[in-house]
Amino acid sequence: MIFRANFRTLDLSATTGRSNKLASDYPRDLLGYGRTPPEANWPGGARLALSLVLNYEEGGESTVLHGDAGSEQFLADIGPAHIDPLIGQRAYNTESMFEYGSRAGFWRIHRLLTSRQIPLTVYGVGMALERNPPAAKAMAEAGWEVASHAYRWINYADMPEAEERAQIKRAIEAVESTVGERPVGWYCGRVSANTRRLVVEEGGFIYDSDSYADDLPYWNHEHGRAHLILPYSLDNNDLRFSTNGIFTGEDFFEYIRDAFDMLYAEGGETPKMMSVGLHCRLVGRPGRIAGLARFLDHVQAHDDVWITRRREIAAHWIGEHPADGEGAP
Amino acid sequence: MSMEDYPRDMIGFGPQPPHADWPGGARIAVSFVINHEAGAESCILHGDAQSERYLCDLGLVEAEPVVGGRDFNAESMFEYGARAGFWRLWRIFTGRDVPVTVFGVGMALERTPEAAAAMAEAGWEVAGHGYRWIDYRDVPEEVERAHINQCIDAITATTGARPVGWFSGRRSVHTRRLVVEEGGFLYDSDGYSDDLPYWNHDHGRPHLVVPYSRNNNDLRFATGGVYTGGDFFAYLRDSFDTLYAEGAEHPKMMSIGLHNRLIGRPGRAGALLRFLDHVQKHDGVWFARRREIAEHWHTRHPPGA
Repeated sequence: MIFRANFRTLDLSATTGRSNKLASDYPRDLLGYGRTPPEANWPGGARLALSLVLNYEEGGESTVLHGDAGSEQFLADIGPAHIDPLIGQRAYNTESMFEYGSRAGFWRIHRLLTSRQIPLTVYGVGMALERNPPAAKAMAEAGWEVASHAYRWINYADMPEAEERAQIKRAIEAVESTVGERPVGWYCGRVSANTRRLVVEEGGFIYDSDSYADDLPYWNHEHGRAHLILPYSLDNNDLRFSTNGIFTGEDFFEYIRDAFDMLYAEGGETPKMMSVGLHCRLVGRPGRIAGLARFLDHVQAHDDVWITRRREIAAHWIGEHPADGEGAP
Repeated sequence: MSMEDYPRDMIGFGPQPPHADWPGGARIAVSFVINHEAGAESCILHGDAQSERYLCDLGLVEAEPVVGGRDFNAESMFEYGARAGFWRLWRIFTGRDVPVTVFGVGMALERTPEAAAAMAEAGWEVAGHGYRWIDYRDVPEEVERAHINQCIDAITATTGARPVGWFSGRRSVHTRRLVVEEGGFLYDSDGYSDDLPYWNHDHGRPHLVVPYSRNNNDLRFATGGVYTGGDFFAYLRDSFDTLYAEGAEHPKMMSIGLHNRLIGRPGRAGALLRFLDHVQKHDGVWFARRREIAEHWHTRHPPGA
C-alpha cells in the first residue's frame, strides 16, 4: 500500500469512527470572536486603528559574511525565480539591494512619515540596527516604537532552542543599546516551534505579532500566562512587490486602500485594526513609494482613524479587554 | 484513430449547446461557491507528516509544505479564514440575500460548528469537499471511500442535511467512481470542461457534472497573477458580461469560487461587493445554489434526452 507523505501517520481509525471525536487538546483556535467581535472601543471613538510597520532588516540577513552557510536572496528585487540562497558564496547583487534599503530607502520613508508626523512601529532586527546607528537614533528621535524582529533576519525554524533563547536576549539588548529603550513588542516572522513560548518566558513583551489570524488583537493561553497577539498582515504588505502579483505602486495603493475602506466601513459597527507592512529596500524604492504616499493621502482624508504604534494598541487592549482568568496582566 | 474507448469527451455540446431553459427565462445561472476548508488542511496536529502552505498568503515562493513540523504562520492564515473571513462573507451574502453553495470539508465543519449552523440558518447548500483538505491522488481507495462517508456524516451532523453535491478538488483516479457508487449525490463539480452541466457515463449510470472554475476563483490571489481586488473584479465582470451576452441565445452558467482566507481579507472583499453590484444591476440572472442547477438539469435535460 502506497501512502503519500501526508498520509504516513494518519490515524486510520479516525476514518471509520464517528465524526465528532476531534482532539479536545487541539491547540489552534478556529473560532476566535466568531459572529460577534467585541467592541474595540478605540480612543476617541475611532472606527479603525491603523498600524504602519517598517521592517528594519538590512544587515541582519543571511550572508557568508555573517558566518552563514548561504547568502539570502529572499525579499529583494531578484524576484521569485531566484529565491534559494547562494550556498557558500556572497550574493553581491542581493547584498547591494539590501544595502539600498539601509542607505537610501530608510531615509526616504523616514522623510515621508516624519513630515506627516505618522506614528510608526519598526520591526527592528538586532544585528541590522547595530550596523546602522544613525538610523536607530533617527527612529528614537521620531518617536517611533522599535519592536524586536529577532536578532537575525533568518528562518528560525531549525535553530536549537537554547540558541534561539540567547538570540532573543541579544535582540532585546541590541534595540536597547541603539534606540535607548527595550522593545515591548515582538515579531519573528519565520518562527520556530519554540518562538512564542520563549517570547512569553522572557517576560518583558506586552505583545507579539507572529500571527495572521484575525482583524483584532486576541489573547493566547498556550504558554501558561495570557499572552497578547496583535495579528500582522502579509497581504497588506510591500513584500508582494518581491514575492508575486504586484509591480506598480498603484496596485499596492489600491490593495491597501481597499483594505482600509472595508475596515473603515465595518468600523461603523465593529471597529477593527489594520496593519500595513513595509520594507526599506522595497517600498523605499522611488518607483514604489508614491503608492504609500497616496495611501497616506487617502487615510488622512478620513476622520475617526487612530493612526498609532502597536504598543499603544496593545496597552489599550490590555486596559479595555483584559485576559480572562488567572495570569491576566 | 479509435474514439470508441477514449474516456475523455473533447466534443461535448459542440457548436449547438442546448437551451438551458433556466427558470424565469434567465440568461445566466450564477453560482457562488465558498470553500470552507480551515482546520482540515495538512498539519502535523492532524496526524499528517507535513503542514500545508498551499493557497494562503505565504505566496508562491514559500509553497512547499513544512515536513515534520507545524507551520505556525500558515496555520494562522487558515485560522483567519474560519475566525474572521467566513463571517465577513456571511454578512455580505446574507445581507444581499444571494444564495451560496459551500464546498464544505468535513473536518473543517466539525471544528467550526457555529459557522456550520450559520450556513444552515442562511439556507446555504453545503456540498461535500472531502473529509480532509488534502491531495487525494495517492490515498488508497478504501481510505478515500471511508473519507467520503465521513464527510457526508460530518455535514449531516453539523448542518442537518446530507450533501447532494460533491467537489474533491485534488481528486484521485478513484474519486468520481466512488462518488457515483455512494449513490446519494445529484452532481459533482470535479470538472472544468464546459459552460453548462453535462452527463458523464464513465461509471455505469449517468452522472451529472456541474463544472466549476479555477479562473473565476480567488485562489488566483495565492497562486499568482492577481494582487488587487480591482483585477479580480475586472476578471469576474468580463466573465459575467461575456456569458450574459451569449445568454440571449444560449444561456450558460457561471461559477465563482471563493475562500474564506483569501477573498475574506479586507483588501479583497471589496471586489466581491463590486461584482455583486454589477451582477445585481442586470435582469435575467438566476442566482442559484448548485443543487437547484443540478435538479433543473436532471428534470429539464435528463440523460439521453
